Amino acid sequence: MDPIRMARASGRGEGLLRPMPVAGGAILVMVVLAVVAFLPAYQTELVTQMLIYAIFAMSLDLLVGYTGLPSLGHSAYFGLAAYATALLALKLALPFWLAAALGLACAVIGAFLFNLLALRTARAYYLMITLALSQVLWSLVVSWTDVTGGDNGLPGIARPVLGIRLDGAGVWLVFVALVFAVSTLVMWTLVRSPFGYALRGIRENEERMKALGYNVWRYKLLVSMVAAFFAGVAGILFLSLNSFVGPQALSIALSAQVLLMVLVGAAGTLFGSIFGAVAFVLLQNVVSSWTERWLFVVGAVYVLFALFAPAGALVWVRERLRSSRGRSR
Amino acid sequence: MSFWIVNTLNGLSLAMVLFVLSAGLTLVFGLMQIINMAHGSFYLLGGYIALSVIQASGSFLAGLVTACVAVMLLGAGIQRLMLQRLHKQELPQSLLTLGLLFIIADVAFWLWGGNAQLVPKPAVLEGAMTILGVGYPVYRVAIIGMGLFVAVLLWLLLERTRVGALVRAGMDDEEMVRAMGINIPLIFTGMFAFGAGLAALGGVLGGPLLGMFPGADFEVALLAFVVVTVGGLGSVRGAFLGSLLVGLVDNFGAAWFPQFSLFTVIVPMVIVLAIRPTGLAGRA
Amino acid sequence: MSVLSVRSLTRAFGGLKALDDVSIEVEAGERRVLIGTNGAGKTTLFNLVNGQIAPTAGSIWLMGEDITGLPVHERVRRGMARTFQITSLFGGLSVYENMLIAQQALSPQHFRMTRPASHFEATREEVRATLDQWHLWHLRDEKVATLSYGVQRQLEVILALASKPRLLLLDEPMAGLSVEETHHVTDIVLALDRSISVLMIEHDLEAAFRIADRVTALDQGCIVADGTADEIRNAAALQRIYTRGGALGGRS
Repeated sequence: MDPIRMARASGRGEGLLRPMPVAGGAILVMVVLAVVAFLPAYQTELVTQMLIYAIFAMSLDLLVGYTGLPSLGHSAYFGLAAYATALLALKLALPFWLAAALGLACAVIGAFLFNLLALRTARAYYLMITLALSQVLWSLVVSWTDVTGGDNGLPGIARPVLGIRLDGAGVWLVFVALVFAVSTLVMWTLVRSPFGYALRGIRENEERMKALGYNVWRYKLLVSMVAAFFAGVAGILFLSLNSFVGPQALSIALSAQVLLMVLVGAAGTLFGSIFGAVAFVLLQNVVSSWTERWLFVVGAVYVLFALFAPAGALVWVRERLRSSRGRSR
Repeated sequence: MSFWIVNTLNGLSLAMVLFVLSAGLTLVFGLMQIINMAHGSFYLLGGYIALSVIQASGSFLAGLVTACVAVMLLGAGIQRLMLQRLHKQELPQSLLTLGLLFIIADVAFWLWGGNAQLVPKPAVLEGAMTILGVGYPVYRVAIIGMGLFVAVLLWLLLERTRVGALVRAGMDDEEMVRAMGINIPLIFTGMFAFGAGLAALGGVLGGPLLGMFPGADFEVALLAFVVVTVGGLGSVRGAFLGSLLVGLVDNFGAAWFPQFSLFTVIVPMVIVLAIRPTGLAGRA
Repeated sequence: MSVLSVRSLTRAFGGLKALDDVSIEVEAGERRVLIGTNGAGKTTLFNLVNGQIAPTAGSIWLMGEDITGLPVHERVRRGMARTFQITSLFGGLSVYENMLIAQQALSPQHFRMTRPASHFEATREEVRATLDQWHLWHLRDEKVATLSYGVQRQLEVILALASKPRLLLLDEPMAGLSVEETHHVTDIVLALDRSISVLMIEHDLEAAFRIADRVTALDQGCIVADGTADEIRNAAALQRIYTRGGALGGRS
């Protein structure tokens, strides 16, 4: 057998993994570029939001979908990076990029410290503790009004300059799309790497992973820090999009929302998280345009998904297709 | 001196409201491993229903009973129709109960409006009494008594009755209880309804103190989560200890560092978790 | 030097001693089988040796090194591998992915996150060779949870071998298998290189005696008999525990 065919044969053994998203990412960036030129400002902002939430959701998918860590406190890193960046830029007048880099460092260090605690537990306890720890930051921000502005948040963060000014909505969207493409590529490489396989192994069977010689704790800690990094990226982009950050960036509601995005598509696929983010932003805008009962609708969506498609819409559709094909045969 | 007495009593009365609320949360978790995000919603509904019934009938007792029964029925329905299908799946369960939290919050806002409303106190418990030379509201003292009464009742129920023995056995080893031919689904539904009823009771008792308003569900749920995380998920004794800790710390914290009211509650929780990740009375 | 040396190991659960002052030496290349009724302490001994639980007293030595306080994965890195009584695989992943995870565990790249796993030529070749060797290559894309129980038990052993252990702990590898499948797994164990020492729990006495150089019988946490397979086959102590429990026919 010649080497190329052999490589293909063994590549097939890896099941799910195909170089599709790389091509997909490139196409998406081109589509975004093409669309930006024609979009009105409102839609430009929607697309920007989708991309930012997609990065955020993919970062959580690394934990929930790949490693099997049920985190309900992921907004902690989103908000921590955003607040740290905003504070450094506003109070210390640091240049945006430096503030952003330090903000990301804060998110990663925060993840390290939080997980020293959280990783001592598992399953439901882990879920509770991540939730509780994210509330530490939320409560700090809400109560430390002098520094954080309390409920009013921190307004007035200008968008950064990168050679050209990034403050036009269209240019900003292109920048966000680039960050999105790079983030997707990095996370996609990660989940296909030896490290990524180890994460799946931990999700499937932690005891066996230990018996194979894996230091499971180190993997969990590291992936939590990586996930916090990308959550932080999303948080900082969000800060720049709105030129504002408030306590809702650290809220349970946001953690729940991003969890829904991960679960809505199909957890453990990254693509499902992108789908979830897009669907969520669309739904939010469609619903709030015709009713004030947004909270009710989003609650109903949570309930319906939990009951009927807990594995995600994409999995649900695939199963329906498969069974209808089975019947027609 | 009166600072200490008043704040301790305030702390204790808050602790007892929290205990009634968290006991339901922790029992449901202990038996079914469900983290009920909508637990605060049952509290809110309990308070609001009691408010409406008391306004209509003038009787606090009628309000209390109606609220508890109505919320228990709702809880039973939710468990039967929804949660039962998601047994032992933490994430879908959390998503579902979060969804219910949003739905109930929106419905409550729609029905009872956006203004904070105090649930009227029962007439016999109006006014103040003197404790160690300090004047103190009778109703708050009654709450402390009520909380202790519920604690003793729960203890008797769990330790001294057949149903309690079954629940304790189910917490340890569900398969074994199932193998004994006990109707586990019935026990689950009953326990979930009971937990919801305790939350509603918390709402009725706490309503005259803390008031009912949009967001109260979230606020008390947060405190209840802190309580059970500190105390240890699944332990009633832990919920009691946790409630005392949170209630007292919250009051003294608010008195000394008014700026950091919530933060002062969460910091002790982190300290406890750093030492005992499964809480004060949790199983390792 | 013994590959495994268990010295005066004791483990109590509450007031109950699951294992009471047990000492065992496993020599290089030896096939040692542990027998005994349920609750005799066999799996407790395994969990102690493997590091899943900590002993109440006593020590465990692997190739001359005291490993008593080490976590599971550190013991594995020092040359110990185990299988589980209840099949313990990565059910949602394919056979190929199961093998890949096992194969890369002790390789230097296992912590790499910047290159796809498929780029590591050597590991890929090893996975392929192993799956070929055990006639599983044609099943490589199958989800492990969908495989027959017999194939899963085989994979259970093969995964443990991926780390090229010096000591292999097999926890009832034949449990629940048909006669034919039992022969198959027995053959895998018999075909193992003598550089690997084996400590095995087995209820199927016929298979056990086929494989064992030495047999150790446990009862109520204590060693009650220890000797060559032939010696043990006739030992009075063995007759006594098995007839009392009546478990001999019941389990296999």
